Amino acid sequence: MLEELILYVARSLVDHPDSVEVYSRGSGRVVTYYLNVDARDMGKVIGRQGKIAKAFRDVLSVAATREGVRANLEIREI
Amino acid sequence: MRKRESIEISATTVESAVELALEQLGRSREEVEVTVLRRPNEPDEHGYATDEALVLVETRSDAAEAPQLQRPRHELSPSERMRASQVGQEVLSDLLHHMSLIASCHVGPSSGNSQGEMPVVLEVEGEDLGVLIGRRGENLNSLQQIVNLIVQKRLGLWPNIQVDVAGYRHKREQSLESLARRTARRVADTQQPYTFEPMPARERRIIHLAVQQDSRVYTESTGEGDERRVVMYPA
Repeated sequence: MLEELILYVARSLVDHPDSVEVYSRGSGRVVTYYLNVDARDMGKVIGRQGKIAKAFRDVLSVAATREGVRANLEIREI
Repeated sequence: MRKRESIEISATTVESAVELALEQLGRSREEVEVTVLRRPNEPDEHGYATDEALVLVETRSDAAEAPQLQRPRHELSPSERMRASQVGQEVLSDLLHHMSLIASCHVGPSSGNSQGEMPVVLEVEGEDLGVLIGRRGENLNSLQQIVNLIVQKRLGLWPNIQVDVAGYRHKREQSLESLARRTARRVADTQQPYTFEPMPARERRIIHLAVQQDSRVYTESTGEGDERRVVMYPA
């Protein structure tokens, strides 16, 4: 479910949605999600001074709280 | 109504007048030209000495074209508003669903905000939505930003959507206004400045405006980024 949320938001923001990939690592209460986007799209998901990334992480944390886990989000360029 | 593009403002120092102006225009320092009309302790146009600085702050003509700019340059036309609310509702519903929230959203009545803009209001209804609001509305603001960005991407214009939960924003505005008035009384009584909690720009503006007419006190913002807060001083 969290993976689908990350994919939905990321693909909606970028110019190259086909390049978006999400991997997760961790089990139990803490999960780290690795979001890969096209290098040209980094600004679209990070924003000035990381503002979009912060909003992205807040939205993810609301969903994670609903699922009873803690979710970290790492954004990387392909 | 067009967004205000220039503003004249006075404060005790040139710096604080510029800061107030930037907050009211919603611009950064790089996006404006500042003209100092009067320095503190200079006589005004009638020859009277004054201890307030007066500045004119104008949006630079190239600022509107800055690629990172996400603010509306004009009010949405009726058909643009219609599309913004339709697509916004769709996007917000998708997000709520993906966030495992049992909630729905509908288009609410729009009331003009302090800048004379009419945002498209999307009201969320459901169970257990406290977590969606978050501390001081932080999560709600983040959700609102994501919705606006996604809709902007789809429509090619900044949709100016305001996301609300159970009337939270209106209640928050009222409680900030009454906090500002109570604090003004206290600052006037004690003659001691008071520093508020850090707030986003829109909330700081509510504090500034609530006591703008109160001659006993004046307000300034201080600090950077997420730590920026209003300080109220005895006049």
